[in-house]
Amino acid sequence: MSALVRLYPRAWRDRYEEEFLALLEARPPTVGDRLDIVRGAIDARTRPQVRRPEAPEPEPANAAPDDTVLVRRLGYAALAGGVVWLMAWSLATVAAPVVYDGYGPHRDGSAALPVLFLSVILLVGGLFGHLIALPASRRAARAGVVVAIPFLLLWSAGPWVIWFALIAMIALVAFAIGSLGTSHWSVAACAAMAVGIGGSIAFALLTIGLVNLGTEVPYEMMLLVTATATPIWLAVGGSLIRVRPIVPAA
Amino acid sequence: MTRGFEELGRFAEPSLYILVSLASGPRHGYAIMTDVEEISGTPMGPGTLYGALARLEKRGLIEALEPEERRRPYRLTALGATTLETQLNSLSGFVSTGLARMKREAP
Repeated sequence: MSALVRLYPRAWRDRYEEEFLALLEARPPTVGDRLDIVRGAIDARTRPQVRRPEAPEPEPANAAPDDTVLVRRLGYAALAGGVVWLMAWSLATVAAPVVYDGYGPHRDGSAALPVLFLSVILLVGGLFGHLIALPASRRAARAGVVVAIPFLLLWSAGPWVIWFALIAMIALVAFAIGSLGTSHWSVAACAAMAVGIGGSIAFALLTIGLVNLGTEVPYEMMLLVTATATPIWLAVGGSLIRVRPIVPAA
Repeated sequence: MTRGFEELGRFAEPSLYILVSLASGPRHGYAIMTDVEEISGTPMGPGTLYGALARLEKRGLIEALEPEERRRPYRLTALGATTLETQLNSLSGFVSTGLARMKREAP
C-alpha cells in the first residue's frame, strides 16, 4: 500500500502520510479506491496544496493591475498565433497550388510567407507580454526573450535561414527554464515549450537530412512535423492568461 | 449545488460533505469517510477525501488537531462554519424554490 502512497509528492507525504496509511489500514482499499488514490496523487502533483517549508513560494508575475489586461490580450494573441502558424504551414504544403515550371510540377507555398510572418508576430507579441510579466530578477528568462524576438522576426522574413530559428530556439529554452518558479509559468508550460522546440528541431533535421539525401520531403510529413511546434504558441499564450494583478501590500 | 466552491473543481461536492460531517464535531479521516458515506449514500475514495481535506485546510475552513496515535482529527474553523452555513442556506433556498415550482406545475 505504501507503494501507492509514494506516488504523492514529498511535501504531501510529510504532512498526510501517517494518517493516510492509518486510514488505509482501517479500511483496506478496493480496486476503485486504488484508482482514486492514483488520481489523488496526480492531483497532488499537478495542483499541490501542501508546500515543503523550505520550498520557496512561486515568485509572483509583476504585472501591475493596469498591465494585466494588456498582458492577457497578448496571451490571447499568441494563442491565435498558434492557429495562424498551422494555417501558414497548410498553405505552404498541402493547400499550396501545384505549379509547373522548370523544376517540374511542385507546390508553390509562397502565399504562406505573410501568414507565417503574422504567426511569428503574434508569438513575439506574447513574448513582449512575458517581458512585462516576468519579475526583474529573472534575468536569464528576460535575456532569452530579448534574444528570441529579433531572431524569430529575422527567421519569419527568411524561413530558409535555419540558423535564425536555431538561435531563437536556444533563447526560448533559456526563457522557458528561467521562468520556472514564477506564478504564471508552470511545469506544464515548460513541457509544452520543450515539445514545441523539439518538434521544430526535428523538422529542421528531417528537412536537412532528406534534402541532403536527395529525397523529396512529403508535404503531409512537413505539415505534421511543423504542427508539433504549435505548443510554443500555446505555452507562451496560455501562461500569460494566468497572470494575475499584483495586490499592493497594505 | 456548490456555488462558491467552484474553484475546488471536482473536490467541491466532497468538500461540502466533509464540512457537514465536521459540523457535529471533530473527526479523523476514517470517521469522516464513513460518515460521508452515510450522509450521501455513496462511498468517498481516500484520494478524494485527502484531496478535499488538503484544500479545506489550505483555505482555513478546517484545522488539524493533535494526532491521536496515528489518526489526526479535523475540526471546522469559524470561517468553515460560516462558509458551510452560507452554502446550506443557498441550497435550502434552491430546494424551496424547486419544490414550490413543482407544486405549482402539478396537475
